[in-house]
Amino acid sequence: MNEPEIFLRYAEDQFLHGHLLSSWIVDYVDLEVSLAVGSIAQEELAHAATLLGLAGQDRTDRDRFVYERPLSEWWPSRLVVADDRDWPSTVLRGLLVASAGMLLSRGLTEHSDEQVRQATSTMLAEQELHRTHWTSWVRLLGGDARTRDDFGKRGADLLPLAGDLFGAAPGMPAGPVRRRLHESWLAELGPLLAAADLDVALLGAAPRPRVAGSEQAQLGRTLGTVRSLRVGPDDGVRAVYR
Amino acid sequence: MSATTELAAVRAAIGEVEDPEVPVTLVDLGVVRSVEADGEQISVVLRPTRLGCPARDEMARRVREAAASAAPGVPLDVRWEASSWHTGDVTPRGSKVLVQIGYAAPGAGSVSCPFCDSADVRSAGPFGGSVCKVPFSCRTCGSTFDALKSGGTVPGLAPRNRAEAEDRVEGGQ
Repeated sequence: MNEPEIFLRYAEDQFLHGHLLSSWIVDYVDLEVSLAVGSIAQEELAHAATLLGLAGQDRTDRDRFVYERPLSEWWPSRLVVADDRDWPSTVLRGLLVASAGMLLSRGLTEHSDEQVRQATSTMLAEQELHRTHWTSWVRLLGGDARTRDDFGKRGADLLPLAGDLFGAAPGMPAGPVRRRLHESWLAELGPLLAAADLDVALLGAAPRPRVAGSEQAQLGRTLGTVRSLRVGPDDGVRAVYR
Repeated sequence: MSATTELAAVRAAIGEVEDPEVPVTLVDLGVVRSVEADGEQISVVLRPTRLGCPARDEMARRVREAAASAAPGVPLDVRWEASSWHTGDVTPRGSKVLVQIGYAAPGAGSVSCPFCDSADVRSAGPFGGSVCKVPFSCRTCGSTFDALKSGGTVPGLAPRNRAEAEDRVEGGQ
């Protein structure tokens, strides 16, 4: 695998997922849900920063990565670009991102670089807690007659979008490692998804290629919201907190 | 000041720096991992309780401020390592202070109430008001309190309470 490329793509996914989750902090539904999702959002954003650090970026680089990079240089998974913020979609997306993240992290915990080993081991431990949380919710929503049908419908929309989580951007080697990770992911998720009446085959037999952010209209809207805080007199929000 | 004296002064100053949220020093909390001379500069390595700890910038600022006041002009490098922090990193003194201010004893095999020492406690889920905390309540004295997460795990519960906690998670907590 091209590791810097993996770190950058994985960081984009974690950042966008953290951003999507963060709306649950202010859109108050239930205190425990807000605390859980808020914590996970915070840790996803921290994981994104950690991954960018592993890719050699410093604080200034990270800032540019999020706030200044053109959409054509983003290659996130379609799963974290889709702006479905309803609870069933949030739960399923959380499970898919956490379980894929665990596989990627686990694969790097034996890395020759001590810094990579330490960081991925730490992320793996934190992601395991996230996956446990989302798994509980998947069982709940998929196991209750009142929520099962709706959860199934959301899953039918969302699962195909997640098929590129281990996918490469065009021009990057697809490679057998990505395929093996994807297959491990399917094997791991299969029983849980089946129990919730979700079809794991919708994730695809092999990783799908990623597409550029400039071809994903929703990414422009999401980043427009994120970046709007940096617009204004004296660089927007930075002037307030400087 | 000699380099040795400067290093000792910086270590002493950093040893007084408290966590921004709990009144425990960063050394006792196990966040300060090392303070060493590295050529002409002093290198400080910190370890966050969680990667997503929002107080990291403030901690680093306090460390820099303390070092600068103890050894003005000495170059300082403060670096965060992305390692797993564990409750076992808390010193015995830090552990004692945490219990005194109402946290479960860190590193204990199971969680007990810091106010009445009862083991009859109830987990309120694996996520709390901060990314590093897990909320509990005590059935004996009625107090609510927090325990600190350790690595990727939530603090251990006594066996009699563990099944109930898992049921609560399964119940959508």
